[in-house]
Amino acid sequence: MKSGLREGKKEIRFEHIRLIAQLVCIWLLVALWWGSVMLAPMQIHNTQVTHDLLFFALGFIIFQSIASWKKSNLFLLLPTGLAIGISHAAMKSMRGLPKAGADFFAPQISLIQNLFGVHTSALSGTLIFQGKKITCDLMKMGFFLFITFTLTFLALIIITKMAIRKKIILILVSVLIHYFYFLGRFSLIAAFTPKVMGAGLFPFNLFFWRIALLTYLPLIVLWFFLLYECDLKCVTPLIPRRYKPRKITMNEVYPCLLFLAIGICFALSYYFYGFIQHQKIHCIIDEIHSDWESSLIDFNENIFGSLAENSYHSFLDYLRHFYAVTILDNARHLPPPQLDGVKVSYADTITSSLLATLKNSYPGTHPVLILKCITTPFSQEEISALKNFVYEGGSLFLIGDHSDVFFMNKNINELAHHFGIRFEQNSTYFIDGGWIISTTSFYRNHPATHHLDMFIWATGDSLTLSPSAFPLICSHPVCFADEVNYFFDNFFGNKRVDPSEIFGSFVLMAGSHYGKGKIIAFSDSTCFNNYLMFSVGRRALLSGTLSWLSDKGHLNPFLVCALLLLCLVPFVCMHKRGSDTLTFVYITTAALVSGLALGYFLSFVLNHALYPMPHPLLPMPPQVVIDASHNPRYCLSFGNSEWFLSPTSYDNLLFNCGRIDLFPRIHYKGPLTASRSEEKSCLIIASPQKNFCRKEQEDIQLYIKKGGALLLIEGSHNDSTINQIAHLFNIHFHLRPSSHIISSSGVDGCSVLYHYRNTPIISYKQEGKGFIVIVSDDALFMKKNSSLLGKELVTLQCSIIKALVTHDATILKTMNWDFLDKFYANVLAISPD
Amino acid sequence: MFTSIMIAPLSFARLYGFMPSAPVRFLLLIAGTGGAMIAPTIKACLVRIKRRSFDIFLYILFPLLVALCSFLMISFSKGYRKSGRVLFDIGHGSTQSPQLDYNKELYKSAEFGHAKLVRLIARSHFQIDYCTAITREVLAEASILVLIMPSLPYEPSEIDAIKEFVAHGGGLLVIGDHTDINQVRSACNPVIKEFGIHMRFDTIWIYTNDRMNLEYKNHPALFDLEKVNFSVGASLDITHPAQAVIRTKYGIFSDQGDPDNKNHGYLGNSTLDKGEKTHDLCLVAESRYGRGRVYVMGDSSYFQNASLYQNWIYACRLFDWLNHAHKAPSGEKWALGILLLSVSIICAFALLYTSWPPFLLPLLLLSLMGALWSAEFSNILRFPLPHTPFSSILIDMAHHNEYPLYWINREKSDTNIDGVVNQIIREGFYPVIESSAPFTLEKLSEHKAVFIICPNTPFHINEIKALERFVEKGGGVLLVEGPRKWAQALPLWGQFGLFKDRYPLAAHMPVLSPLGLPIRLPYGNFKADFIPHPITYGISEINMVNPCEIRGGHPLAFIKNIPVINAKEIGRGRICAIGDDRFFANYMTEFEGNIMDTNKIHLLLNIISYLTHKGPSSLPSGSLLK
Repeated sequence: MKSGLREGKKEIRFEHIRLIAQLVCIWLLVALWWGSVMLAPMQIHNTQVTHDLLFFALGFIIFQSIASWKKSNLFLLLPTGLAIGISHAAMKSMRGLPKAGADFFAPQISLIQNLFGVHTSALSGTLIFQGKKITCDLMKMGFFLFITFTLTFLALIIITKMAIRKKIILILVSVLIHYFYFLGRFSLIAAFTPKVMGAGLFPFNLFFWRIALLTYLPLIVLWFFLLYECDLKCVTPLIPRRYKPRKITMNEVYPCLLFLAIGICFALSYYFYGFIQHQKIHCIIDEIHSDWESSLIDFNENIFGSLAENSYHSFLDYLRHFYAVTILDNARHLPPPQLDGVKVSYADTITSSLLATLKNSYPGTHPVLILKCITTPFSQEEISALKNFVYEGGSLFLIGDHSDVFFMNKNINELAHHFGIRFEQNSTYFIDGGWIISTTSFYRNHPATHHLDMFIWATGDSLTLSPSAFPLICSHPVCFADEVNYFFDNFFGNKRVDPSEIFGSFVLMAGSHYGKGKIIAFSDSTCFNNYLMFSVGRRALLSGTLSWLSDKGHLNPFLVCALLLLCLVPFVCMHKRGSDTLTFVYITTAALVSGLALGYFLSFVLNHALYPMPHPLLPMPPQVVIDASHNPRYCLSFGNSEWFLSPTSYDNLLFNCGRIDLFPRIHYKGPLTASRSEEKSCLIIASPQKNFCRKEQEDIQLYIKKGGALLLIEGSHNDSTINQIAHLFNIHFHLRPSSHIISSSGVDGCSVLYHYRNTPIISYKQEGKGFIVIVSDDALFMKKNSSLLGKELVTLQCSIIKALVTHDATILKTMNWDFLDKFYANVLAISPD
Repeated sequence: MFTSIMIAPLSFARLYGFMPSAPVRFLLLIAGTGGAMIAPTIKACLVRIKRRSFDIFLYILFPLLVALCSFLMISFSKGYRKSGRVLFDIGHGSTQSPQLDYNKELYKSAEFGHAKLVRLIARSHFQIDYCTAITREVLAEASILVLIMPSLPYEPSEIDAIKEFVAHGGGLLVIGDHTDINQVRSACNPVIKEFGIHMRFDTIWIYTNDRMNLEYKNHPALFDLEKVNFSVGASLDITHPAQAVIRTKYGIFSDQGDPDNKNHGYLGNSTLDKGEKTHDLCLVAESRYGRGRVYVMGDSSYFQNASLYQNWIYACRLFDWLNHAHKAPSGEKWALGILLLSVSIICAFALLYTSWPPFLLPLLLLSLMGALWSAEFSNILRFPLPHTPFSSILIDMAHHNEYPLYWINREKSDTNIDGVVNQIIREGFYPVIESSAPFTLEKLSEHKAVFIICPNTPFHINEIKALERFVEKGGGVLLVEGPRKWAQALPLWGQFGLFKDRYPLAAHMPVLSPLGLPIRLPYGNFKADFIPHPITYGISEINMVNPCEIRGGHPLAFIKNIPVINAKEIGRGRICAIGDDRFFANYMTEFEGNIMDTNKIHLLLNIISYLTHKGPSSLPSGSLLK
């Protein structure tokens, strides 16, 4: 008897342990999801998140094993998955609304703090107390974690065997308790938040990751208490009885087909952009109101300094290959560019008649007016003329920049607010302080972002939209908007994280309709200047946006079709279904899901067929491809801002290609095979650390054999994989550390053009029809040497690229290499060795 | 359970501010523990008593006794009132003499003097006397002796005279300071050691005076004050019969002084070294000796000229307390208290045996709350808040104003607005820092003028109306705001017909890039032109930091012909509006005792005079600029 009692007690104790383990598992699963949300491309905090995720995953396995000991409990993970799904959808729907809810929560938290004797006020969603200002935005408050944990618990209760009355009481009580916990938690965090934080891991951990998650850890105790109080010693799920569907009858085929069609139509109505009528585009660039990043400034080997980087020559050069281009200027500044396909029209102001003239100058084209870097404000007459222009069907592409620099946002807002768009006076960064990098998951399903994959921003502002506008690209939620400071250079803020600054996902690009016209607002003018014009995503973004701005139609009849088909459902269900309801539900659900999947696939196919990349009007210049897909040791114009701007970056190689009117492209994803890079005229491989697969090697060999050009750059690094390519052409990098020249490797099997102290630095090789240039000092092209080499580096890079695309070795043979002698002498003089 | 019963009222009283000394706490703990040990025996005895009516009696008696005990512990005994003659010692080389005033003669006035304190208590119907030597004859007529920062040692005869004076019911106030600065500690310790108090050779660096960091004794001088403001002082060692009045909690440490660092007031290294105490540091102590009362402060900043405005109620109450002698013999209250406590303990034991009815605990709590409330009410009745003794100017801190004062926030003292407060004091007004909204006409009417400097939360419509009525009735309002994002006073400005631009005036003259584009706006060093007016009387130049345009009223100062300071008269009142949020920042006016801009100070004095209808500043500018 006694032993039986002891066994019973032991069992109850074990049930408790199992329940705690299950609750910990649920918490860990939410943490795992949250970690996956926090991961952002190429950001510093990824290391910490992945490190922690590993432990969470391990913990999850251990606790799940305990929870499932002698009794499988895996079914209980379903509510967590459901809650995570809902939260994720909620989070996605709140993108671009970083300050949502702040006005609602701030007064409540203020009330709590006042109850505890902290004199606090709430103003415009911001708590003000003890000289601190803390905006109660959703990310800072950990709102999405809160709803996930709350929904998880609610779902857990819903699927658990329990009396309905008890269930309802428990749900109400737990919602209330969770909500108070959420408010109390943030009150406490607000009290401990410093007035200013450096951008980096501290604010990340405080508001997004470690501290944010840990402050939700006591929920496990709360859950256990609530379940224990309800005498729910172990959560027993309501598992539906097993059911085996019977064979489908012919009567059920028609409903199946109907649901399949509904699924297809619904998917097409959402994912398919619509049938359109493409129009030729006439781009009009306004230089009357822009004194910054001018498209009229030439860009060649002799232009240096700030204007070389900060002008729109490459942008103009690229556009003219695809579209008719007119520059509007007031003849104050610069001579017209000598580029085919570019017209210059002179006027002092923008008037309706001027716009009409420009519209008629290229009949059969659609005018897209590009208003970028508006440093001179518009007059009221100009604003009226521009509004009328859009209302009657013209399109506007508005480009602003960070922190109201040169009052550009203030000026452009005078016009943009008529279209429901406002350029904010701030700068957006990742919480680590780096540039924002956006990926497809943060784009709207829209023709403007159709071709876009990854996009590297270079500090833009955020956009605030009224209901008439819609977001096209949003930032990752781990971002903050640094407030403008008009007294700092370029109006940048303090580049630190003030709690009053808003955290979350910001709108970076938005669209709007006005009358018959369309508007796209883009928040970072730096992305299209010479320095970054050929960085990742620019071409795709330009083609998508300009295409959407000019296209007519966008007819998508599938929503109407889906609704019509939906009307047939009651009739079909009434007359055609068999006697077994459950089988009918199963098969129709399966048909609907299949239809949705099929519709998604069809949309993909249709979008690719109907929305191709534009075809060039003028012959395209030779294509230079820079390989960033083999984990290069140094930044090849692909990476986060820290890599980009580091002294070892190769960013000027990409930039200098624009000087000789080439359009370089960065290959950063997927294998470097012929199918992916068939258009290339020149391939650049620098300091690769990842192995080249056989297919890649074969394709590169074939590419050279057919007359391709290859630039190989490597220094003295034993772990380099450059020889996998070099050996294809009987070239060999020694990769041994050299004592007398920084980062130089020896190279065999090619003709030396320049060597320093018997170490070949620049060599070349003719391989069949192909042409290969080898630079065996990987530090030579780095940003840090720009100051030592100056203009000579530009000449050297341009000459090498020119020689490669023309296969003309004489360009290099005739070069005077004295400047490199001086350079290496200087390097040795200043090196610590 | 018995231990809980013993400790619970103590904890409750302690929460309220009652602070028994360590021996008392120890004894209570012993009693609690001992009680718990003998409880079963008592319980066994009580089992034998058959009772029903006795239970009901206990249910009523126990809460009543607990309430009475609490009341006795919390209510104060006032004592016998004395003549009200205050004697200030000026013969022992005080560096912060009660004769040093703080006034418009910038280079003669002393922020650290105590003349304002003398004037304050004189207005509270005390008679003031000064003495150079302390003798029995001199003390015979006095009620209170005040020793402020003496730097010369007292003769044994003087110490004897003081002891005798206190023993016969005299009040003694001793104000010291950190380490042994100016040999104050060496001079004071022989006097105060007779009363169980000793100043330590240390410094207490404290950055906030919030009650969060400090424990306040339930004392007649400060029982209902939100906080007492003080700066950097020494801690005190106390022995019976002295008691701590203000004591630190954990986290604040005693920084041992450095005997070799004479040039910097023997200050220590400001870091926590091994052996330095980190908790329970006594900052202010009281003691009783015979029938007299002794009060010792380890820091001189409580009642200094420039900081008295924060502690004037404390000062009035303290002098009132010192002006009363203990009733002799003392101890009836304690005897009664102990008797009641004993009976309540017996009741508690008796209750252990009975089954507690559900109403007992609420009844107990209610009676306890009633006792606390009635004790507080009785204290307030007997120690009412004194009225503002001077013409006062209200400084708004109720709207989370951007730039606080030293006493509110010491983190960024360069941008605080202590300079404004100092000039109000110099001009002879009394600054009242209002940190609780809303402003009502009744509240405003107590003051001559209201200064509203960069509020971060908006004014309620009723507050705006009250301010409007206040001005119409003759009040003055100073509005200071700059081109800040958080500027919230604009509706108020609008009500007075004033408008402030949201962009900095510097936008009209940006720093240009080589391309001619505005890359940055200039900051600081804007010289404004101005026109003759009572506000600009005697000023040679006006410097602004972050100006913005102001429209409405009469423009007084301009930058590039854009008005930045305006004045306006509405009804009988006057308004001055300044478009520069940092106009009165400490680093632009007066910082750490140094005058940064004499013109700015003169301008501020003129503004105060103008708004309070005092007429132009009586001092010629020459005296300020000497």
